Amino acid sequence: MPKGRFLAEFELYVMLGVAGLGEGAYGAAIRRAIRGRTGRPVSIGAVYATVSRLEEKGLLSHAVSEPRPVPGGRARKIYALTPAGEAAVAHSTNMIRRMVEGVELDGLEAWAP
Amino acid sequence: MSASSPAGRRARTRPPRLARALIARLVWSEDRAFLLADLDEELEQMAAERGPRAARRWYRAQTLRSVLPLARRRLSAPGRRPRAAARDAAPHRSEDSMSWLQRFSQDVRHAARAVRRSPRYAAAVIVTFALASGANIAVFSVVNSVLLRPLPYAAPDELVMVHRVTDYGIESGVSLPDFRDWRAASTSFARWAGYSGSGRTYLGPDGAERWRGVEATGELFEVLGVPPLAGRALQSGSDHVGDPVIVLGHGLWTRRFGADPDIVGRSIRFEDGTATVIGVMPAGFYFPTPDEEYWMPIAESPYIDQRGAWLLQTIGRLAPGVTLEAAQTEVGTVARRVAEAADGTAESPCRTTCTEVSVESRHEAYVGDTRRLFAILLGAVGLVLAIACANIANLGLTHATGRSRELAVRAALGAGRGRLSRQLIAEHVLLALGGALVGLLLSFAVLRGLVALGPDDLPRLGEVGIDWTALGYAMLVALVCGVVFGAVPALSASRASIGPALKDADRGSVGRTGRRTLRLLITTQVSLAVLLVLGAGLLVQSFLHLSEVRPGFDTRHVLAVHIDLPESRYGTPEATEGFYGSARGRLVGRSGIEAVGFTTHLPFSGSRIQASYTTESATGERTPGSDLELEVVGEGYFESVGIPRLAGRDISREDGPDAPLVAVVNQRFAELRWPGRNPIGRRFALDDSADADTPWHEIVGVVGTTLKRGMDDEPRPVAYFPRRQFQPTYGLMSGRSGYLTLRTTGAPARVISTVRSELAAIDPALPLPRIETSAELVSRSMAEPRFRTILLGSFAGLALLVALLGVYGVMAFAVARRTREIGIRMALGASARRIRGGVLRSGASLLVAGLAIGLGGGLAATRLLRSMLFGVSPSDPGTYAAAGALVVLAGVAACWLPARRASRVEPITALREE
Repeated sequence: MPKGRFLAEFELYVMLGVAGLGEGAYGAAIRRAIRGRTGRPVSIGAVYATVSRLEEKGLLSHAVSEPRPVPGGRARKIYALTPAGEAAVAHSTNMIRRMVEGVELDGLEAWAP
Repeated sequence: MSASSPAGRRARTRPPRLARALIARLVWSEDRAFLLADLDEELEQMAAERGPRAARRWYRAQTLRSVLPLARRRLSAPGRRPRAAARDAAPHRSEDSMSWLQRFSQDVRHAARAVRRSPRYAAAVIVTFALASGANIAVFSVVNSVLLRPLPYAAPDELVMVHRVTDYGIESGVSLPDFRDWRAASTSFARWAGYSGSGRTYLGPDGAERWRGVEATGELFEVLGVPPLAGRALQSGSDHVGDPVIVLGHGLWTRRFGADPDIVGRSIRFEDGTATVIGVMPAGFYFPTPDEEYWMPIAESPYIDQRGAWLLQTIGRLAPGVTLEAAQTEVGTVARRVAEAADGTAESPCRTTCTEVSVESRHEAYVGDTRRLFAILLGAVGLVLAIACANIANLGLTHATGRSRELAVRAALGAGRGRLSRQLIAEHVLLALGGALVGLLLSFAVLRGLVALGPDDLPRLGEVGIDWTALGYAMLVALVCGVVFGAVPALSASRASIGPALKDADRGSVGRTGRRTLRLLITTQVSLAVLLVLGAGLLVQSFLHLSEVRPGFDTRHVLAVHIDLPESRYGTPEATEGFYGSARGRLVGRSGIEAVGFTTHLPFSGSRIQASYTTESATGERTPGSDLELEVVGEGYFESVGIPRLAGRDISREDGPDAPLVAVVNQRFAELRWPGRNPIGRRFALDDSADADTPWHEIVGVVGTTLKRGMDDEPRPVAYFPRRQFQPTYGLMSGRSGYLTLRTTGAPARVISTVRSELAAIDPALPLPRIETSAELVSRSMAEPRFRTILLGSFAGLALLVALLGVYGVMAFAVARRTREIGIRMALGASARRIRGGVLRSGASLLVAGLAIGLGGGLAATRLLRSMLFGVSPSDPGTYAAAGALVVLAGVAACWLPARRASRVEPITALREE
């Protein structure tokens, strides 16, 4: 477990979004994923800023895809978790889960393992 | 993504141009294309779902919300070391602050290097700023300690003083019965206490000592809200008039009782009784001034219950929600009602003029008078600071042109103009902080001088010191000034174009705007200096006029001995008269002593008493006058103090308790009531109601008018009553407290020891009396005018010096810059004198504008000083001429050296110089 590596809230969402989207993890998709799942308004600038920062920290890497073979298709930057990034996400998520365990709050949804 | 419909491709939605341009600029180049494409993709989707207008709205919202995250990301320095990046695990905000810090520390290091490279310039800036900053910090500390810091009581802005107001708007005291009635009827105060100053002689193991303190009603400490350090303070329930209990001040406890922890409960012996210590107040507490060292309940005395004995001052704490004005109205109404109710008892000495009250905040009452003085002083040091900053800006400009090559090179290598400016400013802020540090050290010395010079009655002078507020002020001033005078060369440098600067090498030209700025700064400096010199000149004149005032008594050969006979041993008039008789007998005729007298209220001593009066009309009725001041005197008083007798006779031995009541009045009184006629034989009485029955006094003599309160006082009507008649008639002013006055042949100080030994021979148990010469009295009354004159004069001198250094600097720089041109002129035949004259002329042109503005502005500004001027008008032409001449002379002196240097230029070397 990496020592002291703790992701900020939004960074965690972005990482989880990237993890969940797999090969389709590009800017707009990440934004839509977070927006859709959390209901929290997200700006594209925040996504790009966070992704850039996470990359700098070595938690994300990117690859530029070939332009898609459709009219108006374009190259995209696809992001993926690095091994360090995976560890960080796991670490943060586990920490949250451990804290949530046993806590009873109105409106607290059940924690999916 | 946009599906081809059978009808053909739908037109793509155009993103809003402004938003797109904005976000395109914000995002960094590597991701620009991707982000814009992402936005376009989502725009299309939005348009399909919600229509193009909503989609464009969404686009704009996205742009706005992206501004902050993108900007923050951009500002964090790109390309950081991976190690630093790996270390950073915190939320993104600290990353930005780290980079700010990084950039800041870089600027500071660079500034320090730049300063080290030009030590002479740095020294000049630091010294100039230190002088101005030191003066500023010192004056600010005084203002802060005296005026700004709250008084040492709980919620001090709720505390108010309530005075009775008599004619002439003079604030007077309240009697105990009136005070009790007012307090019972009024609703404006949560707590209200009355107090008066008192003195007692303490009988200690090593002799008698006179203490000054306060007698108060029990609520005093509840009003002030400061808990005692030990024991308890006076309480309204338990401590009544005459109770023999005492609360000690911290200073007294330390000084006299060695901070004895068991002091509470001990009994203290006074000359006229004992008292039990019930408590000690903490250090830093005082009331009403630091001179009062103890607090006791009001002492029992025969006139304590007389409504006419206006003995008490009062201080109250406003009830919640009550304003000053509301309290004033309410108490005034209460006072009137109480006066009307007391009418029938014939106790109240007056009915109509004595029910006005004034309610004033305690803070205002205590330090309010200093506001004007401090405003002027702060303004003056502010001007000095402005002059210093202008000076430093000038230095900076000329210095920057010397560095223009260095700056040009750096600019060519890619340092942005903003960055260069920032670094120049950082340099100067550093220099300013250094100057402020030196100034801080200077200010300690200046402060000590200020406190020593300060008039004794400047309140809270003992609390003056440099505290954290002053330090913060110093740093703030340094920061602001550093930015200001760093901005001047920064602006000029950033405006200079790189090419010419590189070519011109060290012969850097200031440039037209630079030259204009130089002239503007010099003109500003000179005009401000002129302003200060004007102000100082006016104050000096005032002071000189003040010191030439003749107060109406002898200022060189009079000695005043403060007498305070204890009631225990001088309870009867016979005892008191016996003392004074013995004193006269022993002192009159001694070598060096020409006359001996006595008065209860010596002029310039700070104590005085007023009463209202009526005069007897031709038909024997009482005609009310306004107020007069009174002194109860012994025989020989006028002679001893040097007051000339103008008509009639002096108070004599015959004016005893069984003789007809007489009085002597001063000329002012006579002029006021009987202008052009002889007052001798006329009668007046002390009260102001038409049907009172106070006795008549017959006027038997007229003496010259003396000033009572100070050298700038106006003449007032005074009546002098024989001591042996006053007390039996009115029950007041027995003569136990007063001043023995002596006329001496030579210097009054020489007879002091004689006086002391003779008085000790009469009564060995008497504590050492305070003795002052009339010269000392006069000097004390001039302490405040002296204070502000010296201060303003010093600031003006400082300002002139700094301004002239500025003029000298600019002239020297100009001469150095034009050495080549001067060399050419001399080679072509110009004489040394012509060159010198030319330089002086150009210097004069610099001065003239500043002089004109300064003198013109002075006409307006010196009006502010009007209340401090005596005998001179704010537009006194002599002062203006003198100030102008002084500045011109000084300016010529400042230009002299550069002019001489110019005339000494060797044409050959000058032409060769590059």
